[in-house]
Amino acid sequence: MYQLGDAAGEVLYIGYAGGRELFGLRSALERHRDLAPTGGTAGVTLFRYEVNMQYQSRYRELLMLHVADNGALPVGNLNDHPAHLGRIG
Amino acid sequence: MDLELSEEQRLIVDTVRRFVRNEVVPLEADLDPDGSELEPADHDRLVAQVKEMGFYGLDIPPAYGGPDIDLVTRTLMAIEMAQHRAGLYTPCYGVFGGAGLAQLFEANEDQKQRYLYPTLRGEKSGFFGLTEPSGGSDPARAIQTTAVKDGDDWVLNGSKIFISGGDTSDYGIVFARSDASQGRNGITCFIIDAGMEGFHVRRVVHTLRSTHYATELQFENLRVPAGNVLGEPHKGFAIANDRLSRQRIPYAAGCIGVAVKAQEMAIAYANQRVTFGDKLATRQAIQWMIVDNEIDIRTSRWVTLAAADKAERHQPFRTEAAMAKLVASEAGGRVVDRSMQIHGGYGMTKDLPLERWYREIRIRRIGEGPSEVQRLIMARDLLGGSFH
Repeated sequence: MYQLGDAAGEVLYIGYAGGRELFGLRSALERHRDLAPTGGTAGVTLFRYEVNMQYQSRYRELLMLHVADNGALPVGNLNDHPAHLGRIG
Repeated sequence: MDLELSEEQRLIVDTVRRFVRNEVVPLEADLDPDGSELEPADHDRLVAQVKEMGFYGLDIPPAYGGPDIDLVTRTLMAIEMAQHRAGLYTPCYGVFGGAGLAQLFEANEDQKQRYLYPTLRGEKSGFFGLTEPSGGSDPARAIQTTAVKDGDDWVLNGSKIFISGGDTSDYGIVFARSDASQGRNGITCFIIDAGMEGFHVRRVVHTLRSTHYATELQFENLRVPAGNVLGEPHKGFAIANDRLSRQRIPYAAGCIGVAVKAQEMAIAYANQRVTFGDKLATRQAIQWMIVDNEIDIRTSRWVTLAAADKAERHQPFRTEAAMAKLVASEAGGRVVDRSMQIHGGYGMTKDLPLERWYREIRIRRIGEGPSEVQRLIMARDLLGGSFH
Protein backbone atom coordinates (compact mmCIF):
# COMPACT_ATOMS: atom_id res chain seq x y z
CA MET A 1 0.00 0.00 0.00
CA TYR A 2 1.26 3.49 -0.64
CA GLN A 3 0.09 7.07 -0.59
CA LEU A 4 1.52 9.99 -2.54
CA GLY A 5 1.18 13.53 -1.23
CA ASP A 6 2.15 17.10 -1.98
CA ALA A 7 4.40 19.34 0.05
CA ALA A 8 1.49 20.41 2.25
CA GLY A 9 0.79 16.80 3.18
CA GLU A 10 -2.39 16.48 1.14
CA VAL A 11 -2.88 12.94 -0.15
CA LEU A 12 -2.96 13.00 -3.95
CA TYR A 13 -3.09 9.29 -4.68
CA ILE A 14 -3.69 5.99 -2.90
CA GLY A 15 -2.47 2.81 -4.58
CA TYR A 16 -1.08 -0.64 -4.08
CA ALA A 17 1.63 -2.75 -5.60
CA GLY A 18 -0.22 -5.98 -6.26
CA GLY A 19 0.79 -9.44 -7.28
CA ARG A 20 1.32 -8.47 -10.92
CA GLU A 21 3.91 -5.76 -10.28
CA LEU A 22 7.21 -7.04 -11.67
CA PHE A 23 9.32 -5.41 -8.97
CA GLY A 24 6.64 -4.66 -6.40
CA LEU A 25 6.48 -1.18 -4.92
CA ARG A 26 9.38 0.03 -7.04
CA SER A 27 7.53 -0.73 -10.29
CA ALA A 28 4.38 1.00 -9.08
CA LEU A 29 6.24 4.15 -8.08
CA GLU A 30 8.24 4.24 -11.29
CA ARG A 31 5.01 4.25 -13.23
CA HIS A 32 3.87 7.37 -11.36
CA ARG A 33 7.23 9.01 -12.02
CA ASP A 34 6.96 8.30 -15.74
CA LEU A 35 3.39 9.66 -15.90
CA ALA A 36 4.04 12.77 -13.84
CA PRO A 37 5.18 15.03 -16.73
CA THR A 38 1.88 14.42 -18.52
CA GLY A 39 -0.30 15.18 -15.54
CA GLY A 40 -1.01 12.09 -13.49
CA THR A 41 0.34 12.74 -10.03
CA ALA A 42 2.43 15.81 -10.75
CA GLY A 43 3.33 17.77 -7.62
CA VAL A 44 4.10 14.73 -5.50
CA THR A 45 6.82 15.29 -2.96
CA LEU A 46 5.79 12.97 -0.13
CA PHE A 47 5.40 9.24 -0.02
CA ARG A 48 4.50 6.67 2.61
CA TYR A 49 3.80 2.98 2.53
CA GLU A 50 2.73 -0.01 4.58
CA VAL A 51 3.08 -3.73 3.94
CA ASN A 52 -0.26 -5.52 3.98
CA MET A 53 -1.18 -8.97 2.65
CA GLN A 54 -4.82 -7.90 2.36
CA TYR A 55 -3.93 -5.12 -0.04
CA GLN A 56 -7.19 -5.20 -1.99
CA SER A 57 -9.42 -4.65 1.03
CA ARG A 58 -6.96 -2.23 2.62
CA TYR A 59 -6.86 -0.24 -0.65
CA ARG A 60 -10.62 0.12 -0.60
CA GLU A 61 -10.60 0.94 3.09
CA LEU A 62 -8.09 3.76 2.64
CA LEU A 63 -10.10 5.22 -0.24
CA MET A 64 -13.30 5.06 1.81
CA LEU A 65 -11.62 6.68 4.80
CA HIS A 66 -10.27 9.45 2.58
CA VAL A 67 -13.76 10.13 1.23
CA ALA A 68 -15.18 10.09 4.76
CA ASP A 69 -12.57 12.58 5.97
CA ASN A 70 -12.38 14.84 2.92
CA GLY A 71 -15.65 14.41 1.07
CA ALA A 72 -13.98 13.26 -2.13
CA LEU A 73 -11.45 10.84 -3.52
CA PRO A 74 -7.79 11.92 -3.81
CA VAL A 75 -7.36 13.84 -7.06
CA GLY A 76 -5.19 11.11 -8.55
CA ASN A 77 -7.86 8.48 -7.88
CA LEU A 78 -10.76 10.31 -9.52
CA ASN A 79 -10.38 8.19 -12.64
CA ASP A 80 -8.59 5.32 -10.98
CA HIS A 81 -10.65 3.59 -8.32
CA PRO A 82 -12.72 0.39 -7.85
CA ALA A 83 -16.01 0.29 -9.69
CA HIS A 84 -18.02 -0.29 -6.52
CA LEU A 85 -16.48 1.70 -3.74
CA GLY A 86 -18.33 1.53 -0.42
CA ARG A 87 -18.80 4.12 2.29
CA ILE A 88 -17.61 4.26 5.87
CA GLY A 89 -18.62 6.42 8.81
CA MET B 1 -31.77 -42.99 -7.84
CA ASP B 2 -30.27 -42.14 -11.22
CA LEU B 3 -26.70 -40.99 -10.75
CA GLU B 4 -26.20 -40.12 -14.42
CA LEU B 5 -26.69 -36.58 -15.68
CA SER B 6 -29.54 -36.14 -18.10
CA GLU B 7 -28.74 -35.09 -21.65
CA GLU B 8 -30.00 -31.59 -20.87
CA GLN B 9 -27.89 -31.36 -17.71
CA ARG B 10 -24.81 -32.51 -19.62
CA LEU B 11 -25.42 -29.88 -22.27
CA ILE B 12 -25.86 -27.11 -19.71
CA VAL B 13 -22.80 -28.14 -17.72
CA ASP B 14 -20.68 -28.29 -20.88
CA THR B 15 -21.91 -24.85 -21.93
CA VAL B 16 -21.03 -23.29 -18.57
CA ARG B 17 -17.66 -25.07 -18.55
CA ARG B 18 -16.78 -23.68 -21.97
CA PHE B 19 -17.91 -20.22 -20.91
CA VAL B 20 -15.71 -20.28 -17.80
CA ARG B 21 -12.66 -21.62 -19.61
CA ASN B 22 -12.96 -19.58 -22.81
CA GLU B 23 -14.39 -16.30 -21.55
CA VAL B 24 -13.63 -15.87 -17.84
CA VAL B 25 -10.26 -17.50 -17.24
CA PRO B 26 -8.42 -15.58 -20.01
CA LEU B 27 -9.49 -12.24 -18.50
CA GLU B 28 -7.85 -13.17 -15.21
CA ALA B 29 -4.41 -13.09 -16.82
CA ASP B 30 -4.58 -9.28 -16.72
CA LEU B 31 -6.26 -8.88 -13.34
CA ASP B 32 -4.60 -8.59 -9.97
CA PRO B 33 -4.29 -12.12 -8.48
CA ASP B 34 -6.54 -11.06 -5.61
CA GLY B 35 -8.92 -9.08 -7.83
CA SER B 36 -12.68 -9.55 -7.74
CA GLU B 37 -13.92 -7.13 -10.40
CA LEU B 38 -13.77 -7.28 -14.18
CA GLU B 39 -13.32 -4.18 -16.26
CA PRO B 40 -16.86 -2.77 -16.70
CA ALA B 41 -16.79 -3.33 -20.48
CA ASP B 42 -15.78 -6.99 -20.01
CA HIS B 43 -18.43 -7.45 -17.34
CA ASP B 44 -21.18 -6.04 -19.55
CA ARG B 45 -20.05 -8.14 -22.50
CA LEU B 46 -20.16 -11.36 -20.48
CA VAL B 47 -23.53 -10.48 -18.97
CA ALA B 48 -24.89 -10.12 -22.50
CA GLN B 49 -23.51 -13.55 -23.40
CA VAL B 50 -25.05 -15.15 -20.31
CA LYS B 51 -28.41 -13.57 -21.14
CA GLU B 52 -28.15 -14.92 -24.66
CA MET B 53 -27.48 -18.39 -23.23
CA GLY B 54 -30.64 -18.02 -21.14
CA PHE B 55 -28.85 -18.44 -17.82
CA TYR B 56 -29.07 -14.92 -16.39
CA GLY B 57 -30.60 -14.62 -12.91
CA LEU B 58 -30.24 -18.35 -12.25
CA ASP B 59 -31.67 -18.30 -8.76
CA ILE B 60 -34.61 -16.06 -9.54
CA PRO B 61 -37.88 -18.04 -9.37
CA PRO B 62 -39.52 -18.48 -12.80
CA ALA B 63 -42.54 -16.45 -11.65
CA TYR B 64 -40.21 -13.47 -11.38
CA GLY B 65 -38.48 -14.00 -14.70
CA GLY B 66 -35.81 -16.55 -13.76
CA PRO B 67 -34.77 -19.24 -16.24
CA ASP B 68 -36.59 -22.12 -14.44
CA ILE B 69 -33.64 -24.45 -13.95
CA ASP B 70 -33.96 -27.05 -11.19
CA LEU B 71 -31.76 -26.89 -8.11
CA VAL B 72 -29.72 -29.99 -8.94
CA THR B 73 -28.77 -28.52 -12.31
CA ARG B 74 -28.07 -25.14 -10.73
CA THR B 75 -25.78 -26.89 -8.25
CA LEU B 76 -23.94 -28.57 -11.13
CA MET B 77 -23.62 -25.16 -12.77
CA ALA B 78 -22.33 -23.60 -9.53
CA ILE B 79 -19.61 -26.25 -9.40
CA GLU B 80 -18.50 -25.20 -12.89
CA MET B 81 -18.81 -21.47 -12.22
CA ALA B 82 -16.32 -21.62 -9.34
CA GLN B 83 -13.52 -23.10 -11.44
CA HIS B 84 -11.34 -20.03 -11.84
CA ARG B 85 -9.07 -17.92 -9.65
CA ALA B 86 -11.75 -15.69 -8.13
CA GLY B 87 -14.41 -18.40 -8.38
CA LEU B 88 -14.84 -19.29 -4.73
CA TYR B 89 -16.21 -15.93 -3.62
CA THR B 90 -16.94 -14.29 -6.97
CA PRO B 91 -18.08 -17.07 -9.31
CA CYS B 92 -17.73 -15.74 -12.86
CA TYR B 93 -17.47 -12.24 -11.37
CA GLY B 94 -21.23 -12.13 -10.94
CA VAL B 95 -22.06 -12.12 -14.63
CA PHE B 96 -24.76 -14.76 -14.12
CA GLY B 97 -26.67 -12.19 -12.06
CA GLY B 98 -28.13 -12.74 -8.65
CA ALA B 99 -31.51 -13.24 -7.09
CA GLY B 100 -30.77 -10.86 -4.26
CA LEU B 101 -31.86 -11.82 -0.78
CA ALA B 102 -34.17 -14.84 -0.88
CA GLN B 103 -36.28 -13.49 2.00
CA LEU B 104 -37.57 -10.67 -0.21
CA PHE B 105 -39.63 -13.13 -2.22
CA GLU B 106 -41.72 -13.51 0.94
CA ALA B 107 -42.11 -9.73 1.33
CA ASN B 108 -45.42 -7.90 0.87
CA GLU B 109 -46.14 -6.20 -2.44
CA ASP B 110 -45.12 -2.74 -1.25
CA GLN B 111 -41.78 -4.07 -0.05
CA LYS B 112 -41.30 -5.99 -3.29
CA GLN B 113 -41.88 -2.80 -5.25
CA ARG B 114 -39.32 -0.91 -3.19
CA TYR B 115 -36.65 -3.58 -2.78
CA LEU B 116 -37.14 -6.86 -4.64
CA TYR B 117 -37.97 -5.67 -8.15
CA PRO B 118 -35.22 -3.01 -8.25
CA THR B 119 -32.81 -5.71 -7.05
CA LEU B 120 -33.88 -8.11 -9.80
CA ARG B 121 -33.40 -5.30 -12.33
CA GLY B 122 -29.88 -4.76 -11.00
CA GLU B 123 -30.70 -1.30 -9.69
CA LYS B 124 -30.29 -2.04 -5.98
CA SER B 125 -28.39 -4.46 -3.78
CA GLY B 126 -28.87 -5.60 -0.22
CA PHE B 127 -26.90 -7.13 2.65
CA PHE B 128 -27.88 -9.79 5.18
CA GLY B 129 -27.35 -8.62 8.76
CA LEU B 130 -27.57 -11.45 11.26
CA THR B 131 -24.24 -11.99 13.05
CA GLU B 132 -23.32 -9.77 15.97
CA PRO B 133 -20.14 -9.37 18.03
CA SER B 134 -21.85 -11.65 20.56
CA GLY B 135 -22.05 -14.49 18.02
CA GLY B 136 -23.57 -15.71 14.79
CA SER B 137 -24.11 -19.45 15.07
CA ASP B 138 -26.78 -19.18 17.74
CA PRO B 139 -28.80 -16.17 16.63
CA ALA B 140 -31.74 -16.93 18.91
CA ARG B 141 -29.54 -16.23 21.92
CA ALA B 142 -26.76 -14.08 20.45
CA ILE B 143 -28.78 -11.22 18.99
CA GLN B 144 -28.44 -8.21 21.26
CA THR B 145 -29.49 -5.51 18.81
CA THR B 146 -32.75 -4.17 20.18
CA ALA B 147 -35.87 -3.03 18.38
CA VAL B 148 -38.28 -0.94 20.44
CA LYS B 149 -41.69 0.09 19.14
CA ASP B 150 -42.16 3.86 19.19
CA GLY B 151 -45.44 5.03 17.68
CA ASP B 152 -45.63 3.60 14.17
CA ASP B 153 -41.89 3.08 14.01
CA TRP B 154 -39.33 0.75 15.49
CA VAL B 155 -36.11 2.13 16.92
CA LEU B 156 -33.03 -0.06 16.48
CA ASN B 157 -29.83 0.07 18.52
CA GLY B 158 -26.92 -2.32 18.31
CA SER B 159 -24.27 -3.61 15.96
CA LYS B 160 -23.59 -6.32 13.41
CA ILE B 161 -20.28 -7.80 12.34
CA PHE B 162 -18.91 -9.88 9.43
CA ILE B 163 -21.50 -8.32 7.13
CA SER B 164 -20.60 -8.63 3.45
CA GLY B 165 -21.64 -5.64 1.37
CA GLY B 166 -22.68 -3.54 4.35
CA ASP B 167 -20.78 -0.59 2.89
CA THR B 168 -21.94 -0.89 -0.71
CA SER B 169 -25.58 -1.98 -0.40
CA ASP B 170 -28.62 0.22 -0.77
CA TYR B 171 -30.54 -1.65 1.90
CA GLY B 172 -30.20 -4.58 4.25
CA ILE B 173 -32.21 -7.24 6.01
CA VAL B 174 -31.49 -6.95 9.71
CA PHE B 175 -32.56 -9.05 12.67
CA ALA B 176 -33.16 -7.46 16.05
CA ARG B 177 -34.52 -8.52 19.42
CA SER B 178 -38.00 -7.05 19.75
CA ASP B 179 -39.04 -8.99 22.86
CA ALA B 180 -36.26 -9.80 25.31
CA SER B 181 -38.38 -12.34 27.19
CA GLN B 182 -39.15 -14.61 24.25
CA GLY B 183 -35.88 -16.05 22.94
CA ARG B 184 -36.27 -17.13 19.32
CA ASN B 185 -39.86 -15.88 19.35
CA GLY B 186 -38.73 -12.37 20.17
CA ILE B 187 -36.76 -11.57 17.04
CA THR B 188 -38.07 -9.34 14.26
CA CYS B 189 -36.71 -8.97 10.74
CA PHE B 190 -36.45 -5.45 9.31
CA ILE B 191 -35.56 -4.00 5.94
CA ILE B 192 -33.44 -0.93 6.53
CA ASP B 193 -32.22 1.64 4.02
CA ALA B 194 -28.53 2.46 4.10
CA GLY B 195 -29.46 6.13 3.90
CA MET B 196 -31.50 6.08 7.12
CA GLU B 197 -30.22 8.31 9.90
CA GLY B 198 -28.45 6.23 12.51
CA PHE B 199 -27.02 3.67 10.09
CA HIS B 200 -23.23 3.56 10.28
CA VAL B 201 -20.50 1.49 8.64
CA ARG B 202 -17.98 1.54 11.46
CA ARG B 203 -15.09 -0.34 9.90
CA VAL B 204 -13.80 -2.73 7.32
CA VAL B 205 -13.09 -6.15 8.78
CA HIS B 206 -10.03 -7.58 7.03
CA THR B 207 -9.91 -11.34 6.70
CA LEU B 208 -7.90 -14.08 5.00
CA ARG B 209 -9.38 -13.12 1.67
CA SER B 210 -8.06 -9.86 0.32
CA THR B 211 -11.25 -8.95 -1.49
CA HIS B 212 -14.84 -9.36 -0.38
CA TYR B 213 -14.07 -7.97 3.02
CA ALA B 214 -16.66 -7.84 5.75
CA THR B 215 -17.92 -4.79 7.60
CA GLU B 216 -19.01 -3.89 11.09
CA LEU B 217 -22.25 -1.94 11.25
CA GLN B 218 -23.76 0.12 14.02
CA PHE B 219 -27.34 1.26 14.50
CA GLU B 220 -27.82 4.35 16.65
CA ASN B 221 -31.48 5.13 17.26
CA LEU B 222 -32.16 3.94 13.74
CA ARG B 223 -35.84 4.63 13.13
CA VAL B 224 -37.50 2.06 10.89
CA PRO B 225 -41.13 2.44 9.71
CA ALA B 226 -43.48 -0.41 10.58
CA GLY B 227 -43.93 -0.93 6.86
CA ASN B 228 -40.35 -2.18 6.74
CA VAL B 229 -40.95 -5.16 8.99
CA LEU B 230 -40.38 -8.27 6.89
CA GLY B 231 -42.95 -10.88 7.82
CA GLU B 232 -44.57 -10.54 11.21
CA PRO B 233 -43.10 -8.89 14.29
CA HIS B 234 -41.32 -11.35 16.62
CA LYS B 235 -41.24 -14.06 13.93
CA GLY B 236 -37.98 -13.15 12.26
CA PHE B 237 -36.04 -16.17 13.49
CA ALA B 238 -37.77 -18.52 11.04
CA ILE B 239 -36.84 -16.14 8.21
CA ALA B 240 -33.18 -16.26 9.24
CA ASN B 241 -33.17 -20.01 9.78
CA ASP B 242 -34.71 -20.86 6.41
CA ARG B 243 -32.04 -18.89 4.61
CA LEU B 244 -29.23 -20.56 6.53
CA SER B 245 -30.19 -24.07 5.35
CA ARG B 246 -30.75 -23.07 1.71
CA GLN B 247 -27.51 -21.15 1.45
CA ARG B 248 -25.44 -24.19 2.44
CA ILE B 249 -25.97 -25.98 -0.90
CA PRO B 250 -24.42 -23.36 -3.25
CA TYR B 251 -21.81 -22.73 -0.56
CA ALA B 252 -20.80 -26.39 -0.80
CA ALA B 253 -20.89 -26.29 -4.60
CA GLY B 254 -18.31 -23.50 -4.69
CA CYS B 255 -15.92 -25.55 -2.58
CA ILE B 256 -16.34 -28.52 -4.94
CA GLY B 257 -15.67 -26.36 -7.99
CA VAL B 258 -12.37 -25.10 -6.64
CA ALA B 259 -11.39 -28.63 -5.58
CA VAL B 260 -12.14 -29.96 -9.07
CA LYS B 261 -9.93 -27.31 -10.66
CA ALA B 262 -7.13 -27.82 -8.12
CA GLN B 263 -7.19 -31.57 -8.81
CA GLU B 264 -7.10 -30.94 -12.57
CA MET B 265 -4.02 -28.76 -12.08
CA ALA B 266 -2.39 -31.30 -9.76
CA ILE B 267 -2.84 -34.13 -12.27
CA ALA B 268 -1.48 -32.03 -15.13
CA TYR B 269 1.54 -30.99 -13.09
CA ALA B 270 2.21 -34.52 -11.81
CA ASN B 271 2.24 -35.75 -15.40
CA GLN B 272 4.65 -33.03 -16.46
CA ARG B 273 7.10 -32.40 -13.62
CA VAL B 274 10.20 -34.61 -13.57
CA THR B 275 12.18 -35.22 -10.38
CA PHE B 276 15.06 -37.62 -9.90
CA GLY B 277 14.68 -38.80 -13.47
CA ASP B 278 10.97 -39.56 -13.54
CA LYS B 279 7.60 -37.85 -13.52
CA LEU B 280 5.91 -37.01 -10.23
CA ALA B 281 2.98 -39.12 -11.37
CA THR B 282 5.09 -42.26 -11.00
CA ARG B 283 5.66 -41.61 -7.27
CA GLN B 284 3.33 -43.45 -4.92
CA ALA B 285 3.26 -40.48 -2.52
CA ILE B 286 1.86 -38.32 -5.32
CA GLN B 287 -0.51 -41.01 -6.62
CA TRP B 288 -2.07 -41.38 -3.21
CA MET B 289 -2.59 -37.63 -2.88
CA ILE B 290 -4.31 -37.60 -6.27
CA VAL B 291 -6.52 -40.52 -5.26
CA ASP B 292 -7.39 -38.96 -1.91
CA ASN B 293 -8.29 -35.76 -3.77
CA GLU B 294 -10.63 -37.68 -6.03
CA ILE B 295 -12.31 -39.46 -3.10
CA ASP B 296 -12.86 -36.10 -1.40
CA ILE B 297 -14.28 -34.54 -4.57
CA ARG B 298 -16.66 -37.38 -5.41
CA THR B 299 -17.89 -37.67 -1.83
CA SER B 300 -18.57 -33.95 -1.68
CA ARG B 301 -20.29 -33.93 -5.05
CA TRP B 302 -22.76 -36.68 -4.26
CA VAL B 303 -23.57 -35.47 -0.78
CA THR B 304 -24.22 -31.98 -2.16
CA LEU B 305 -26.28 -33.16 -5.12
CA ALA B 306 -28.33 -35.34 -2.76
CA ALA B 307 -29.09 -32.28 -0.64
CA ALA B 308 -30.09 -30.30 -3.75
CA ASP B 309 -32.29 -33.17 -4.90
CA LYS B 310 -34.20 -33.31 -1.61
CA ALA B 311 -34.62 -29.54 -1.53
CA GLU B 312 -35.87 -29.60 -5.11
CA ARG B 313 -38.48 -32.23 -4.20
CA HIS B 314 -39.58 -30.09 -1.20
CA GLN B 315 -38.52 -32.75 1.27
CA PRO B 316 -36.82 -31.89 4.57
CA PHE B 317 -33.18 -31.25 3.70
CA ARG B 318 -31.67 -29.59 6.75
CA THR B 319 -29.46 -32.56 7.63
CA GLU B 320 -28.41 -33.06 4.02
CA ALA B 321 -27.57 -29.36 3.56
CA ALA B 322 -25.52 -29.31 6.77
CA MET B 323 -23.71 -32.48 5.70
CA ALA B 324 -22.98 -31.06 2.25
CA LYS B 325 -21.58 -27.84 3.70
CA LEU B 326 -19.47 -29.70 6.24
CA VAL B 327 -18.10 -32.32 3.86
CA ALA B 328 -17.46 -30.02 0.90
CA SER B 329 -15.76 -27.25 2.88
CA GLU B 330 -13.47 -29.63 4.74
CA ALA B 331 -12.74 -31.85 1.73
CA GLY B 332 -12.15 -28.82 -0.49
CA GLY B 333 -9.55 -27.55 1.94
CA ARG B 334 -7.75 -30.88 1.91
CA VAL B 335 -7.78 -31.05 -1.90
CA VAL B 336 -6.35 -27.55 -2.31
CA ASP B 337 -3.72 -28.29 0.34
CA ARG B 338 -2.60 -31.53 -1.35
CA SER B 339 -2.60 -29.89 -4.78
CA MET B 340 -0.43 -27.09 -3.45
CA GLN B 341 1.95 -29.70 -2.00
CA ILE B 342 2.20 -31.46 -5.37
CA HIS B 343 3.07 -28.13 -7.04
CA GLY B 344 5.89 -27.48 -4.59
CA GLY B 345 7.19 -23.91 -4.55
CA TYR B 346 5.02 -22.82 -7.46
CA GLY B 347 1.92 -23.72 -5.46
CA MET B 348 2.69 -20.94 -3.01
CA THR B 349 3.16 -18.22 -5.62
CA LYS B 350 0.62 -15.79 -6.94
CA ASP B 351 1.46 -17.09 -10.41
CA LEU B 352 -1.09 -19.85 -9.71
CA PRO B 353 -4.53 -19.59 -8.08
CA LEU B 354 -3.78 -22.27 -5.48
CA GLU B 355 -2.48 -19.85 -2.85
CA ARG B 356 -5.62 -17.72 -3.13
CA TRP B 357 -7.86 -20.77 -2.87
CA TYR B 358 -5.79 -22.01 0.08
CA ARG B 359 -6.54 -18.81 2.00
CA GLU B 360 -10.13 -18.45 0.92
CA ILE B 361 -11.28 -22.04 1.35
CA ARG B 362 -10.14 -21.97 4.97
CA ILE B 363 -12.89 -19.44 5.58
CA ARG B 364 -15.43 -21.93 4.26
CA ARG B 365 -15.08 -24.12 7.35
CA ILE B 366 -16.33 -21.19 9.41
CA GLY B 367 -18.58 -19.12 7.13
CA GLU B 368 -22.30 -20.00 6.91
CA GLY B 369 -21.95 -21.88 10.19
CA PRO B 370 -18.73 -23.62 11.26
CA SER B 371 -18.24 -27.38 10.92
CA GLU B 372 -19.05 -27.87 14.59
CA VAL B 373 -22.44 -26.20 14.19
CA GLN B 374 -23.21 -28.33 11.14
CA ARG B 375 -22.53 -31.40 13.29
CA LEU B 376 -24.79 -29.97 15.99
CA ILE B 377 -27.59 -29.49 13.46
CA MET B 378 -27.25 -33.06 12.21
CA ALA B 379 -27.07 -34.45 15.74
CA ARG B 380 -30.31 -32.70 16.63
CA ASP B 381 -32.03 -34.18 13.62
CA LEU B 382 -30.62 -37.67 14.12
CA LEU B 383 -31.20 -37.87 17.86
CA GLY B 384 -34.56 -36.13 17.79
CA GLY B 385 -35.76 -33.13 19.69
CA SER B 386 -33.68 -30.16 20.67
CA PHE B 387 -31.01 -30.19 23.32
CA HIS B 388 -28.36 -27.83 24.63
